Amino acid sequence: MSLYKTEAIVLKSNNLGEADKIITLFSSDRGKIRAVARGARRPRNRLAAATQPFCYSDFLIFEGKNLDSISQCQIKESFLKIREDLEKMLYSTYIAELVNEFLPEGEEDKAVFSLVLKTFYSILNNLDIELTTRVFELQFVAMMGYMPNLENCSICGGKLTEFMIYFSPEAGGALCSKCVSKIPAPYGDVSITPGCIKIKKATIEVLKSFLRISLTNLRAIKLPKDIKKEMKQTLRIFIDYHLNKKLKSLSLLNKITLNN
Amino acid sequence: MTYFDLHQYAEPMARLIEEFRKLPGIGPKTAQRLAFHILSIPENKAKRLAQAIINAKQKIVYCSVCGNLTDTDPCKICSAANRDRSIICIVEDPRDVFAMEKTREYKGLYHILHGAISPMEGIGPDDIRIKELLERIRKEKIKEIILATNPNIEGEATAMYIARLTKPLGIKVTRIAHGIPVGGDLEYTDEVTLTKALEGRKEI
Repeated sequence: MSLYKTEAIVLKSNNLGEADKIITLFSSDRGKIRAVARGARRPRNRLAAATQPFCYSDFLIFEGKNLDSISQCQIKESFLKIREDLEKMLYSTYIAELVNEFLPEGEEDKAVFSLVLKTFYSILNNLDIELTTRVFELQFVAMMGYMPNLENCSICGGKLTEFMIYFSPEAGGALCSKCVSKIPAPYGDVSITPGCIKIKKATIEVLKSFLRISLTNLRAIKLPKDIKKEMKQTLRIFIDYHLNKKLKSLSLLNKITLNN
Repeated sequence: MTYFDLHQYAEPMARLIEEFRKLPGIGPKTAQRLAFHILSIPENKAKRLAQAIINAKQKIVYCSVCGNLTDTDPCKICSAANRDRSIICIVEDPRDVFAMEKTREYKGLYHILHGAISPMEGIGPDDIRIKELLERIRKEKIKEIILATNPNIEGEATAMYIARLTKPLGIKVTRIAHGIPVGGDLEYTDEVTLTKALEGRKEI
């Protein structure tokens, strides 16, 4: 049992008992950690502000037998402005939930940490929030080991030349129109195949470029609405297929973004 | 039970301890102490306690207007003649009403949401009493609503969501201030609270 120091982002915070919180942290050198913040729900508590979701801080944590507990913290970036804007908050909640669901506890991943941090900064700095989220989704799942095949047809390996092509998470990525019928029945019929969608070749091309894009370069990018919509759907079915679980934050996010 | 084997007690005693243990903040040792205390007091006192529990459970209902706990419907605050009926203060929990009432500053009405929107837990606007609030705003002449949800992520989400729905209706929508506690020390105030306190500063 000892103290350790680490920089981390708060992914989630749950209430515990009368005045405590259990927070899920994503640390740069220790991966996902769960720790108790004692008294963090009392006003005047010094842990209260730093244990709000998305807050990025230096933590001093006491290693316990079962759960660790937060001893001290120093805020580096509170991301307060994210929490004060409904859209920004909902998108960030979705990102935090995605990270929380995919990452196993205690596994260090510096690349993912840096991506999450950059994504939150991009949202904070008013970059196109939707595209930022798309870049995050794609790069994040790729880092997690689920890279969609965007280069050629996932079944026959042939070049994707048609204007309209298909995308199936089950097949692992893009499909040409010939191969979509090769997915065994009843999945052969595209209209009833769950999680197989018809998209423009251009959408795949954009996704391909998003794999390597730096978030700061997003400012220069303008995309037509239909491509944005297809990217959203493509990544949604791909993530849902691999996660095999419904994300809680999506229902409210969809509700709010649909109204605009 | 690891530390306390319930079999060593007589059956009614064991049941009493079990019931106490289900209460919030009560562990096995406290449950045992409470049970022994109940057995040591005169029968009429124990009966009074039991009766008080049953009474409260049967008579307390939610006010059909604001959602507060009450024994008369509508509740005392909603039916009071001397309160400003054009202001509604929106809170998450009935306990927050008592906290607000302690100020003796606020003379308007309340609306209790019974929860807060939590995107992380999948609790949406339909799971709390927002529909009832909108209904109230439509029916009554409301000039201002005060959003007094907690200053945490759920409370902020709830406040922003309600503000978005009610602002187009031409009502003044305000959010309670966040800042340094009275008697507190600036030196020990965290930077987030201080930022909020600076934003909400006012001329003296």
